[in-house]
Amino acid sequence: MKGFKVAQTLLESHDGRSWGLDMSLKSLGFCVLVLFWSFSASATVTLKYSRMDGNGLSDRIGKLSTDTEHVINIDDCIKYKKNNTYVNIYWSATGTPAAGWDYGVKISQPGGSCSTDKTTKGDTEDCKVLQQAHPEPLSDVKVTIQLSDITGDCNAGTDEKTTVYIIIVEPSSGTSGGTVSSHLAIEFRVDLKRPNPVKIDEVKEGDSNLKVSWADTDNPGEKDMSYRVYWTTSTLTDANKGNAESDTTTSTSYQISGLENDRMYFVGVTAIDANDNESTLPDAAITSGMPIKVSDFFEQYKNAGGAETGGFCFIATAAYGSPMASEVETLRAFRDRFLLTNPLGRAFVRLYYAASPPLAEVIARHDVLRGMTRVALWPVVRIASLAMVAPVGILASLWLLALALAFVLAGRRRGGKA
Amino acid sequence: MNRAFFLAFAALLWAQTAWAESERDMMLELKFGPYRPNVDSEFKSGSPYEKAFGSGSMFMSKLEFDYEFFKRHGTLAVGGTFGYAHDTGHGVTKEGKEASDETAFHVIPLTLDLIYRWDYLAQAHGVPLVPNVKAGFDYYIWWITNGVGHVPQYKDPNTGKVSKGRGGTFGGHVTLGLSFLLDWLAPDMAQTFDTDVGVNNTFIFAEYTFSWINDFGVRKRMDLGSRTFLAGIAFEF
Repeated sequence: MKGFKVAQTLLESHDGRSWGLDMSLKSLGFCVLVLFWSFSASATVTLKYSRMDGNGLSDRIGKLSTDTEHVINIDDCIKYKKNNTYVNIYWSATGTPAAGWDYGVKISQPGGSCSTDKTTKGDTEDCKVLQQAHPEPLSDVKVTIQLSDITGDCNAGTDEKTTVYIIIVEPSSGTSGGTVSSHLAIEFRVDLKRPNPVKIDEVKEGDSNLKVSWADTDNPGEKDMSYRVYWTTSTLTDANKGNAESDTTTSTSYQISGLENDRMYFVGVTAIDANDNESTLPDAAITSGMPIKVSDFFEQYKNAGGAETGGFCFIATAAYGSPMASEVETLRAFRDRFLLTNPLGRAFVRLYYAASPPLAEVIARHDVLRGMTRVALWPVVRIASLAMVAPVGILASLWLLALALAFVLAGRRRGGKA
Repeated sequence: MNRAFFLAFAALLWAQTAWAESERDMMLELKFGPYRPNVDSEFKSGSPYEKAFGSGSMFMSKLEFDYEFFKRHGTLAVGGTFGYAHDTGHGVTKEGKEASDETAFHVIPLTLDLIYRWDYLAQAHGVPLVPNVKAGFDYYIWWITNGVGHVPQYKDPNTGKVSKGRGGTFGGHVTLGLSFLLDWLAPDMAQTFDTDVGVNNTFIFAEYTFSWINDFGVRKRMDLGSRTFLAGIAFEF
């Protein structure tokens, strides 16, 4: 199911007669003649595709000419058929075709191709031909195609390309008559092939969680595979998996958390290919498990009688006695406005939150320490208040002060070394 | 033979001290070693730390940066250290069996040190050994994770008080160390290192640390102190 390469190719072809001559003549003189013939018989227009639109198209289809693939998967196929979805393809031509030119659109079968030297259906080709009126002018021309004509049977289980050909056939400008054609081929990858199911390896039962792991051995060579994990307390089957909770992962293991201990859960895993086709969910991809109560280290420590209580509190709150003190509110506002708005400030806040709580506990218990801390915080609170009133001036002054201090220290250091 | 060896050694010492070094006032140390906190020392019976993490030690990595402010018959410096270590073990089921759920203990030790290195012999006479002593304050940030990677909470069944499995603990430490001056082995290379990038001296060293990380006993905390051995490489510049 690897990607077919780019759908929009611009091809200029010759009519059958000129190719026939080219292949049959061997001598140099004739080759020169053929070259002249070919040149004189070349098409006068080139076709270029610009974009697509339509009703209810998936993003997967790639609506721009710069998109490398135009993909239709199983879900799209079903949806497009159900909704009679169409696609508009917009194309333009450079040059003016010779008088008497003809125009048509052909759609191949998945995996097939169509002749491009005429706008009508050939005797042996299995293509759908859309007869189109002559567009005028040949700029931003819209071709409307029902996507059901492109997809074929959604249950085909194939991964093929369907090509839409936009063809212009014009009378040859050579002396021997005949026609030349120009065409534009847009390939749609119709991926209707599901990946193979995975096999569950094991499920580990943890506290409020189950860790399930699986093997994906039947999709060798597939790139960009992902997996959808389903879990439910009801019986899980391929048919009812839509009712289960689910999540996707690119790993071959997944930890389902937030479960209820001592309750049986059914867990299933499907494979999802790069085009979002999902495998079926057979019995081998379904298992069950029951989360159980597990004591982590902290619980073991506390159960053994450990005194640690953990947690944090903060220096300013300890010093001013209340989180609602005006000084604390000023510092909090300064934090929100000037520190949490930049990476350096956020790093400082993280460090402060990590380092300050135990110190705060000690400060809170001693009046002398609380008084000293209030004195130490006074200039900080004042600067923070000023910064809230006149942020630019104050912060610029602080930066200039810091810069001046750095210069003085650097000068002193250089002087010392000299 | 002995005289020749003595002359060669003297020449090496002379070469060591002959060139004029650039100014040195900083030291960077990168060091590694085992670390096992004394958590279980809190309990007369039972050893929850050993039960969760076994009898081994976690691997500690530390980075220390010193500023040398006094150089006379040795060097005095102030420095700070940042480190990280973690251990992973398994939780236990209510039947006491090892569960598939993992539990982990993480610790970030931060220290503030006063350091004395007796590098007089190295600086004046080219003897490549530098003993040192460090003492300082510590602040250990620690947290525990449960089977789904979250910091756990514990609700006391008697008081209803909720404790969180993370925190910070103050403490102190004393370290004794010995450094070996690598420049002594390759003086030309050392001189080039100094000329090119300003690194005066390169050492390998080992040190033994006694730490008491329990908030100085102000309140009951998990004891994260240890007796541990670290070794590493240091650059003086």
